[in-house]
Amino acid sequence: MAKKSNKKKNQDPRLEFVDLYKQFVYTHGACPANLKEFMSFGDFAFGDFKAVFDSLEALEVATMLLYFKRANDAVLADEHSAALSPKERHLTFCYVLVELVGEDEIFLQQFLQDKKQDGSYVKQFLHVLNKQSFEVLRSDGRFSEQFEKLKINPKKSALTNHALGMIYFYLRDKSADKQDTDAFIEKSTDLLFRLTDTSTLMSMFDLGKFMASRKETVFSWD
Amino acid sequence: MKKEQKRISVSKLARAGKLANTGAKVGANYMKHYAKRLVSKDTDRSSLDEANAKDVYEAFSELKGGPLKMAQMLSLGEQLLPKSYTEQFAQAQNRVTPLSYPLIRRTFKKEVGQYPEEVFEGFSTSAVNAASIGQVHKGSINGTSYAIKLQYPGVADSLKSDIRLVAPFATRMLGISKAEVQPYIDEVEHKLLEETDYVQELSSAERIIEGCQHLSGTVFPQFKPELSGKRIITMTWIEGQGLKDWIDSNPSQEAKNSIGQRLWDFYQHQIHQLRFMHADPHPGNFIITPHDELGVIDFGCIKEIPDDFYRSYLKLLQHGQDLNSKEFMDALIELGLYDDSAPKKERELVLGVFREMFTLVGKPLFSERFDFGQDDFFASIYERGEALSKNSELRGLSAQGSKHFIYFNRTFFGLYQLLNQLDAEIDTSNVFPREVLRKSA
Repeated sequence: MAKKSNKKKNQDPRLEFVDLYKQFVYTHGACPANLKEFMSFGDFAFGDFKAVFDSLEALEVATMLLYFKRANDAVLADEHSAALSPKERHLTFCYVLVELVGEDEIFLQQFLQDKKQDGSYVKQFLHVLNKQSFEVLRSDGRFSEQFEKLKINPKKSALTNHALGMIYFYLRDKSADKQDTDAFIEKSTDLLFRLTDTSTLMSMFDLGKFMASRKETVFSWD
Repeated sequence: MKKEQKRISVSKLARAGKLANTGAKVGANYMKHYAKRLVSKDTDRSSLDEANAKDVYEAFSELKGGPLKMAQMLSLGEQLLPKSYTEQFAQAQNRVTPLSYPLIRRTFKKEVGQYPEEVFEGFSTSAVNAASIGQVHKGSINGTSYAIKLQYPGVADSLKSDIRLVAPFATRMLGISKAEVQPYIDEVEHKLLEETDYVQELSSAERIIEGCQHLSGTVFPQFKPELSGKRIITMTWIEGQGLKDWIDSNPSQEAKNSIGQRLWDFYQHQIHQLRFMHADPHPGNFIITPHDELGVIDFGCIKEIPDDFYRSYLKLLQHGQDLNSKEFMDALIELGLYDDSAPKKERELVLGVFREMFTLVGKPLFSERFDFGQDDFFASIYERGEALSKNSELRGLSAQGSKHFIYFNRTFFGLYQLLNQLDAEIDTSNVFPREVLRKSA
């Protein structure tokens, strides 16, 4: 098990590795180049690591994912969240997320800088992120039932990716007290909800259905 | 119920796009107007102005910050603008779409350390009022109601580019020349930056309240510094109606005169005693209590009156009824209104114009009582003002006047407007406080 981390009783071993990973970045000012380098720093057994992560990249994905999970859990734990509209809930989620990101800003600046060029990481992270089902980002309304049948949920995906974009904005924000991040969250959320408004999506769905049903006639040259 | 606005357009491009879009709408309104004219000769310009004003106001309202403040300031200039514009812009004084509650909660937590619902009972999740750079919520502690003013995020950073964006559009859309708009633009920029400093506002408010709290029939909120910060100000809630709503409720002439007198006294006291004045006299900043007291609720825009400016201004007033006196001329020179080295033709022109306007605008200052309800008085000011604005000889004069006049005139102009809206007849004999006259003697 990870020896350099401050082991807490009954703590999820994955969290210990995430903490250790952050320690590595803080110590070296860069991400570990490979698992061997990380193992050497953490002085842990390969078997312990493999018991919870398949690869170093999987740990790196989990490290970022953890911010989303913690934000999700914090919003759900808030007694006021049940009364919030989907839009307010998303806004609250974003504000909690930036609080969490703010606590690790130095780590994240370095981590995302190093990972910027790593297409494989970004791809894998987005893949995993979009497979998650964060309760607070669930989309309400009749349209979701329709889209469920098609196994797509454009709103959920948009909300998740919006939150990720917000992290990047926050880390680059140089305004006083990061006020521009607040403004960005407000205005981008508004736009997002307008674009993914039930009626807009239903219109798109309706048009798509109409076009699909006429594909053999009007929309075909054959 | 008004839909909530969850964004402020921050990027310059986005904001420019918004205004450009409004410019296009105004163009379309002109097209519609002239199309209507083709089929009906009776179509008057007011319907065009109304359509333009609505589009301009909506754009300004959505952008908040600088553009909205412009809208507010231009609404003070009733009669300078077509009536339809001023009616739409007057809305900026107290009705704008609010920001989201999650952001309010977050801001409060950051500034005060607790969520609003942990501090207040019955904190209003929706804003009870929204204005150019902030919005107001209501809550209570132990039965005392408080107004909690929160500033929009990113407003201060957006102001300068806002104002630069507004200038050319305002010039074109409102049909006012750039030179005429520029003093407004400069003033708005300076004042808006000042207004975003809530720590400064709290300090200014305490200074004015301390100096004016003895004024009869005038009430002020009590501030709670421990629940205030860089982007939040908490003060006691003053129950009552906004000045505009109060006027619309058809109060008695006696009540209107009384409120008018309190407004007048409040400003005269600040100018002559404090030399530090509330420089934003628009209806949204005043509340009339159920006991017909004047409540002053916003202290974001404050003007400090420098001693040298005040001395020259006082000299101007003291000799304002002897327009040919040496002292009057000296005061004009000191205030930068007259350049005695300018060519004779220019000097004669300036003196003629200034004497005429001073006699007209200064009427209330030299009367024992003045009836601000006389529309003729205001009509002649605007008539002369319009004639002067079209006088090409007055452009590019060597004497432009002290920069302090921008704030000073705005305050007087705003006060006159309020008194006119109140239709108030008041005692104006206290322009020269006895002690001031004794000192100058």
